[in-house]
Amino acid sequence: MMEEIARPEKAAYTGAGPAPGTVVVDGVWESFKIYSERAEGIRDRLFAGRKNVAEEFWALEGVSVTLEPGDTIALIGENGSGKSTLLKVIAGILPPTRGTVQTYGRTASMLELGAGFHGDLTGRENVYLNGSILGFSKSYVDLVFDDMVSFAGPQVSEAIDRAVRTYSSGMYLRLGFAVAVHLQPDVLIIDEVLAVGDAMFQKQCFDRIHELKRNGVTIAVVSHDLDTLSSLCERGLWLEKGGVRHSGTAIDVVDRYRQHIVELQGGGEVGKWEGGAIYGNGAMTIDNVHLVTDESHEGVTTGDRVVIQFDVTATEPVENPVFGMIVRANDGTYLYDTNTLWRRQDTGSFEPGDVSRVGFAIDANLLPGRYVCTVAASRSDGKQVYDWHTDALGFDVVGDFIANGLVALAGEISVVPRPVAGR
Amino acid sequence: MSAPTLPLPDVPPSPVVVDSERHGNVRELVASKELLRNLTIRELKVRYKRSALGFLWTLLNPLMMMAVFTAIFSTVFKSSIDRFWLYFLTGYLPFAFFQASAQVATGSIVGNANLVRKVYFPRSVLPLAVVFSQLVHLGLGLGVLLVALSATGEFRWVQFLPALFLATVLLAMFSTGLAMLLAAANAFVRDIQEFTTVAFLLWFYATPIIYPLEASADNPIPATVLNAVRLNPITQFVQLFRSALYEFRWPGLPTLGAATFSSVVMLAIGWTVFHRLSPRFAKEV
Repeated sequence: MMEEIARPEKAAYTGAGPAPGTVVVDGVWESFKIYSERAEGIRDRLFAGRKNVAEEFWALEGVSVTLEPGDTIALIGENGSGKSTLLKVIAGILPPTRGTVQTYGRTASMLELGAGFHGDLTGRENVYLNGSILGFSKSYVDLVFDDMVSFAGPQVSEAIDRAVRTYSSGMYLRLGFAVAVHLQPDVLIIDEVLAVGDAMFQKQCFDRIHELKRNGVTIAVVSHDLDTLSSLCERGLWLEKGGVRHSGTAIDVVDRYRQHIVELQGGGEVGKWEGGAIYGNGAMTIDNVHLVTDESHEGVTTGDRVVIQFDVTATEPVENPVFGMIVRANDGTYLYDTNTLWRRQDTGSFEPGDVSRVGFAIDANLLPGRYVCTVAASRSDGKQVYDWHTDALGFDVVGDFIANGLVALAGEISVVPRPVAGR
Repeated sequence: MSAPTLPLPDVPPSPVVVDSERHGNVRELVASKELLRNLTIRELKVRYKRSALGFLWTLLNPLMMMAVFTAIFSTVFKSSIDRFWLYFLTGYLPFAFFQASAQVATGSIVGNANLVRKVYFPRSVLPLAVVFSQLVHLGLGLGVLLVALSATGEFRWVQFLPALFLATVLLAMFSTGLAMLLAAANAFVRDIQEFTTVAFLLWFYATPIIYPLEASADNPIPATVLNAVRLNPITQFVQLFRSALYEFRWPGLPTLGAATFSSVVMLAIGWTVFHRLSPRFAKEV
């Protein structure tokens, strides 16, 4: 049976019309009626009169976007910009008031984890019910059930035959997430549900979403975590007041959006510095970004231990700021992103005027080519940027040509003769 | 560590196209039969999950109603109806199915607001699941009735099973139509929910469940009222059930015609209104 259900790669699709995973949103307008005092009963509807009953509000104003199978798109914008509405339009939950939307293939929406779970049913019963709500058959859920439950963790798998009403909220979310990411749709829609559980579980979730992405699932994401978006998505769409303000690569859109936010907050200098945007509210400033290389030879050779170093100066008292660093290939490919928050490294307190030198030592297991580093300092929760220098530092890696690609995964190649029967 | 590759789902060969036109698409509803089955099972499981007697209530409920009404009508009101218990059950079981279907379904869209706002699926499965779960209750109730008949040495019902089946199908169609109509309307005007409680109490007395339909010296109900009761579509359905299980004869063509007509019309109205309104459910609930 496995053979029958498992299908060839999506690329092999030869049917008529666009391949599953294609989404065509064409000139979509979406209006909502806002009731000043929400009129829900007959009396309100009949006697409130024509005026005052409802005010029309346009959540989307002529948005068009086309997604090819396997595209990953980040929807970015302030609250009320229409991101979530656009997701719901793509998911088919809200039919457009004007314009058309066509989504080919099966769509799974993660707009709320565990939507449709019923407290009195067991975890197992809910998994099958949730699967069929998302459009997956029992035979398919059977296939992924064990993976799904082990993904949700030991607590959940022990309790799988108990009513979910007895689950902790963490267990509930884990199971909800496990269901959503194990049913492999053609289009996956994610709204602000990525911050679930502890760091371990979050990593597990990201790995899973990356896997779905590799499998060619079209993914549309709304999140306020801009770093997540730029690492997960290739494309970005910035919505403002229901219209498209900017569309491009996720990295580009995120950078522009960050700059915009800083301008709105009225803090920090916005400018260009070695090709990248600089912004932040200025509670700390970064300067003297440089690379400390291996002293035995010039430049950087594949495999060298190098240190990306910069000085930070506090202009206000700050407590345990986060220092971070991102390495990208010259074409923008996201390679490595780390910070003191993720590493759980305490950075201490700073008084105005305090200066520290921050160093990120890395093993440059990179193939020859040009690489760029972004450095940043932000508030202890990572949510407010003090100073951010996009592509502050560029460096070239040289070395003997051994492979194509970006990273030197090294290792040896072995060729060992094997005995052949009959010879 | 390499993550295992997922099996791909059993996607239908032609792409599922989502667009504004799909509300009310019968093919899509047929494709959702597994969802409909699961939701029906959910309705059944959840209802009795935390009661000690559980599913037995499906049988106890009509039996207790029968006991109460039979006691009242054989002692207080001295009803002239022959075998009152059977007369009562053959009217009460179909009516209780109809009432529960319509009344529970009324809240089915609003009660599942969380799902309706967050996931797309054919909305009609929500009221339909209610009707199907009530159909299971009706089936069990009728089963007990047939066992009771057999226990009294009455086996004539066997040859009228096709008529019983037809009566059930027609009543289910009528109930589905009203269930969809009320469910959709209630998403916009919540008063419907309150209104149905009183409406169904009136409807119960407007249906010949505890009194005979034929005017006679023994019947306390005036003939003019009985003529009005004949216009109640549920009366026709009750007549169908009674002819098979109480009078043990084939239903008359006028009754059958009237029941067929009202079930088709009600289903058409309910289906049309529901799918006219369903695209707006996500915004209203």
